[in-house]
Amino acid sequence: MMAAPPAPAALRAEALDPDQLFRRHAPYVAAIAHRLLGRDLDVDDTVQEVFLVAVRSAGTIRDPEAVRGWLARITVRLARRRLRARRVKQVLGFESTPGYETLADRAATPEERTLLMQVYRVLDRVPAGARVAWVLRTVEGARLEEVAALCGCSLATAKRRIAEAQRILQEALGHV
Amino acid sequence: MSDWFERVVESRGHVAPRWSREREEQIQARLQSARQSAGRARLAAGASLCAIAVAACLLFWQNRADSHRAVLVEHFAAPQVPLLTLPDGTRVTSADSSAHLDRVALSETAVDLRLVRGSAHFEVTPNPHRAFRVMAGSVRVSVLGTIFEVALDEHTVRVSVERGRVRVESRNQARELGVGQSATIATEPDRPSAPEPGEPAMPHTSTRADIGHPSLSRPHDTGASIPTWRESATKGDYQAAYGQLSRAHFQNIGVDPSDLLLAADVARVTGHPMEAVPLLRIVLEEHGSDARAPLAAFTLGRVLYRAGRAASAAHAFHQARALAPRGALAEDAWALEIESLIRAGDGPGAESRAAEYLRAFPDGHRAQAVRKLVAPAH
Repeated sequence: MMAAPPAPAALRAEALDPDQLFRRHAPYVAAIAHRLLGRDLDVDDTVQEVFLVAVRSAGTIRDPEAVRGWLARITVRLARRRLRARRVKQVLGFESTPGYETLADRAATPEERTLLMQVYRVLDRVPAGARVAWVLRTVEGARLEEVAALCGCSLATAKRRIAEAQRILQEALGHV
Repeated sequence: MSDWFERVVESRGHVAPRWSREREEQIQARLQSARQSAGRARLAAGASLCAIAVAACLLFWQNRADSHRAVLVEHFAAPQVPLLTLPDGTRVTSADSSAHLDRVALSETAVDLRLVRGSAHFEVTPNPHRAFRVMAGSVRVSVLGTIFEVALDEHTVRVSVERGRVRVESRNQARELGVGQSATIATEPDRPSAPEPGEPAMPHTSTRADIGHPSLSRPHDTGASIPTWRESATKGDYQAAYGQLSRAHFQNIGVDPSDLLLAADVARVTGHPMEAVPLLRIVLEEHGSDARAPLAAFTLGRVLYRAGRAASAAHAFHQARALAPRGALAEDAWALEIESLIRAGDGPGAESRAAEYLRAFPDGHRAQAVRKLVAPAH
C-alpha cells in the first residue's frame, strides 16, 4: 500500500533541505544519468553536479511537487554537456571508447547485456542532443511531450532528434 | 519495427545503475565537501562588501579566508565540471566556465597537464612516487599532494594554494608556495623550447591519456618534438608528420598559428579531417586578428560541411567572410554559407544571405551559382 503523499509543508521543507533532497532523489537522478551516460564514473560526477546546482537554486523552487521533474531537467542538461565533451575527447584520442561493462544490471541475460552494449557503442557516434532524446524516449520510456520538456526543445525538434538517432542505430544494428 | 529495437525495449529495464548505500554515501560526502567550500566563499564575498564600514571584519576574513577566496568565489560562481579524475581520488575540476585542460601524459610515476585557458581547481592525493605537474602558459606548477588552483589569462598565471605546498617555475624564477599563499606570474605565450646545441633530441613517447601507460613526454620536451613533425610536413611527408603528431596526441604543436594551420593541413591531407577542427578553432579563438584567420575559418567550414555538420559549417563560413569582407575568400565563403544553410534546413536564412550577397556582389563570380541555389525557394 503506497504511503500518502507528503503534505505541502513537508514537501517544501524537503525541497529546501539539501540532505533530504539528496537522500530522497539521488537514486532517481542516478538512474537517469546512468541511462544517458552509461558509465559509473560519469554517473557519480553528474549526480554530484546535479545536487550542487539544485542546492544553489533550491530557493527558487515554487512548486515543491515538481522537484523530481526539475531535477530530471538538470540531469539531462548536465549529461548532455558531458556527452559533448566526451565526444570531443574521443575524436582527439584523449579518452578511450567506453566499454559499457556496467551498463546492464546483474539480472540481464548475456544476450541482453551484449545488445545493450552494442546499442550504446553506436550511440557514441550519435550527436549528444539526438542521443539524449532517443534514450529518454526508448530506454527511459518517456512520452514525447516529456522528452521535449526534459530536453528543453519543441515537440517537433524532439521527434527530429529521436528520428536522427534511430536512423543511425538502424544503419548500424539493422542486421542484429 | 526492427527486431533489435523490440529487444532493446524489452530489456530496457536492465539499464540501471548498481546503486548502493556505500556509493550514495560517497557521493554525498563529496557533495557536502563541495558545499562547505562554497559556503565559506559566500561568507567571504559578503565580508568583502562590508569591508569599508567594518575594517576589522575585513582583516579577520582576509587572514582566515585569503587562501580560499580566489578559489572558492569561483567555485560558488560557476558549476564545477570534472576535468580529470584519477583512481587514487585526485580530482581536477573547472573553476570557471572557460576552463580547458589538456592531458599531456598520465602514468603511475608522472601526471603532466596543460591548462590551456581559464581556471581549474586541483585536489591532488599525496603520492611521493608520482610527480604531478601543471603547465599554464610558460609557468609550471609541481606538486606532491595538495589542493590548489591555477588561473590562466592572457598575460598572467595565478597560483593559489589551499593545502600543502607547490613549486612554481617560470623562465626566470622558481619559488615554493605554502598554505594560504598565492603568486601571480607574468607569462609568455606557450612556445616550444628548442633543444640546447649538442643536446640529443628526446625520444618520442606516446601520450595516451590512460593510467598505466609508461611515462611520456614532459611539458618542456615539446620543443624537441616540434621540429620533427614540422620538418616532415615541410618536406611533404604528411603521413610521417601525422604519425609524429598523433603519437604525441597533437600536444607537440605549440600555439603559433603557423604551426596550428600546418598541423591542421597534416590532419586533413592524411584523411583525418575532424582532427583539424580543434586546431582551426584555436586559431580563430586565440588568433582572430591574424591575417590567416579567415583562411582558418574557411577551411573549418569546408571540413564541417563534408562531415555533414551543415549548421556549424554555415557559422564557420560566416565567420570567414566577417573576418575579411573584401578578402579573396569572401564571395566563396558567402556562397558556401548559403549552401550550408540550405543543407541545414534553414531555407529562410539561406534566402536572406543570398539577397545580401546579390546586393553586395550583383556581378560577383558566385552570383549565378547563388541565384540557382535559392531559385527553387522562390
